[in-house]
Amino acid sequence: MHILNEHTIRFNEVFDQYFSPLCYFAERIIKSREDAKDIVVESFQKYWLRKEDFGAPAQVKSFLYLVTRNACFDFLKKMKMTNSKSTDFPDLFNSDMEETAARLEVEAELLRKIYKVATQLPPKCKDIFQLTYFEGLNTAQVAERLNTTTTNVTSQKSRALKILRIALAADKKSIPLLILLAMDF
Amino acid sequence: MPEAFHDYDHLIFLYLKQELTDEQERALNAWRAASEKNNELFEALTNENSLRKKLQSLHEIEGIKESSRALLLKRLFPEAQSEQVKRKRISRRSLATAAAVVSIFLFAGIWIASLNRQNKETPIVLSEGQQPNTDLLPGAKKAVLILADGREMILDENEHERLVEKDGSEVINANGILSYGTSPRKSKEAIYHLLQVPKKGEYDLTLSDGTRVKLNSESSIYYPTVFDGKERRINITGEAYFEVAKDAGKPFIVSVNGVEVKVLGTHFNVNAFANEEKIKISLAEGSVQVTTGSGNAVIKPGEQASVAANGKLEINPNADLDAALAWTSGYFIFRDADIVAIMQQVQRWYDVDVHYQDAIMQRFVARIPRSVTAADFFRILEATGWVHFKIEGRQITVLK
Repeated sequence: MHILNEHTIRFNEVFDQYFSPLCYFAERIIKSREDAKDIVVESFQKYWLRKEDFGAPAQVKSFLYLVTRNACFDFLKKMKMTNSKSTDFPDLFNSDMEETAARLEVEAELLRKIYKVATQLPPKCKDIFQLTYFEGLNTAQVAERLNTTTTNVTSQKSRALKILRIALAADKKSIPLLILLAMDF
Repeated sequence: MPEAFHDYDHLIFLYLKQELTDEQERALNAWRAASEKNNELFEALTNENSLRKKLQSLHEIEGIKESSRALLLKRLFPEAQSEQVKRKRISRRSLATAAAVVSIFLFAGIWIASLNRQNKETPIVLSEGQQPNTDLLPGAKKAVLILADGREMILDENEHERLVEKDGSEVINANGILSYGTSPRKSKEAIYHLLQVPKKGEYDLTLSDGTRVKLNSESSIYYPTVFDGKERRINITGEAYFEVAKDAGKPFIVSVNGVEVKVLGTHFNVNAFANEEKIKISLAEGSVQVTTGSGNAVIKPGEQASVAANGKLEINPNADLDAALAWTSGYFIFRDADIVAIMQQVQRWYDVDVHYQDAIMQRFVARIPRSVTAADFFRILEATGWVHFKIEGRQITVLK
C-alpha cells in the first residue's frame, strides 16, 4: 500500500525514474547487484536529505549519479584493501576510472529512455515486446506464454516494432533501430 | 572528463529515433572518434543483441524495485507509516448487495449493430433467462481519498461523511459525490488531496470553485482544497470529464503527462490512460487551449485534440463526441470500433485481463449500459457472430 501526499508523490516520481538505471549503473561498476541496490538506496536517502538544494530536475539526476558513483568507488577501494589478492574486481583504479563511469552513465540513461518508451506501447504489443526484448523469449515461447499462435505473435510483434519506431521517431530515411530489432524475425 | 560525456545518451537516443540534426551528428561522430571505447559503447548500444541483453538486465532490476521503495518509504516517511495504520475506513460496500442490484432488467435499452463500413444498425434484444456471471460485476461508485497527511479514506455512495481539513476547508462525501466547501483558507500553505479511482470504479467530485469532475476507472486527480493563486491548476491520470465553473480571472489548467489544457469555463473530457497510444481531449462546450512540449492549439466544440507520445498534436474536426463522452452518462458507445479498442475499456471497467487467440477484423457499433455484467456485455457482442469470448475467472480470451 502506498501512502501518498505531496512529499511521497515527489519522492516516488524521482524514485520511479532513476532507481533501476542507477542500480544498473552501480552493478556494472561493482559487479554485484545486491551491493549495488544497497548503494542506490543510500543515494536516494542522501538526495532526500538535500532535496531543497535542487532546482532543475537535471540537477537531481546529476547528483544521484555522482553520489552513486562515489559510493561505488569507495566500495571497490574497500574490497581491494580487504581482499587484495582477489581477481574478481578489475583494477579500475587508474585514470580511466572516471571515464568508464561516465560511459556507463550514458549507457544507463539511454536504456532508461528506451525502457520508458517500450512501457508506453499498447497492452498487447507491450506484452509481446517485453517478453521478447526484456525477458529474452523467442517467438514460440512468447506464443506459448500468451496462449496464442506464433502467427499472431509475429504480427503483434511487427505492430509493436512499428509503434515503438513511431514512438521513437517520425518518418526519416534510415531506420537503424527498427532494422536491428527486426533482424530477429 | 565527465563533462565531455554530458548528454551523449541523448544524442544516441536521437540517433535511434533518427532525429539528429547535422550539428548533433557531427558532435556524436566526434565523440565516437575521440576514443575507441566511446565507439565501442556506441556500437554496443545500437546493436540489437547487445541492446537486448542490456534491456533484459535493466528489466531484472525492475523486479527488485518495489522492496527498495518500501524500505526507503519506511526510512524517509516514518510518520506516514504510522498514520497508515490508523487509516480510516468510511465504509465498504458488500459485493453481495451489488450482485443483487445489478441485474438483467436493463436489456430493453440495449441495441447493437454491426456494420460493413455502413451505418446499418440492427437491434438485438437479449432473452432474460440467462444467469449473469456474478464474478464479473460492472464497476460502481468507489474511490480512495488521500489526505495531505497521508491518511486514506475509502469512499462509496452509501455513506455520508464530513471532515474539516486543517486549513478550514470542509469536505463532504454524500451520494457518491465528494465536494469541497468554498470557505476561505486559514493556513498559508496549500493543502493537496489525491482522489484515486480503482479499476471497476468511478466517482464524482465538486472542487472548491464549483467545478464538477467525473473520474473514470483507473484514474486519479490531484488538486488543492482551495484555489487561491492566479490560476486553478490540477493534475490527472487516466480519464476525467470536466464542467469548469466560469471564472475569467483564474484560468483552469489540467496538466496531464506534459500536456496542458487551459480553459476559462467549459465542458470537456481528457482521456490519458497510460496504455492508450494518445492523450485525447474532447470538447463539448466553450473552448480550450491545449499546450504540449511542441506547440499549442485552440479547439472548438465538437473537435477532439490528440497528443501522441512524441508530443505531436493533431485536431480532428469531426470527432465522435457521443462515443468519447458516453461513459459520463453511464454507457459504452462504440462506432466503427475494433475489438482491441473495445476491450481496453472492458478491462478497466470489469477489471479483467484480456488475451487474443484470433484477430477479429470486423468493426462494431454498439451502445451498452455500463451497468451490465461482463458476461452480458460479451453476450451482446457475441450476438454479431463475429466474436466469441472464453471466460475463465478474470481471464478473458477473444476468439473468432
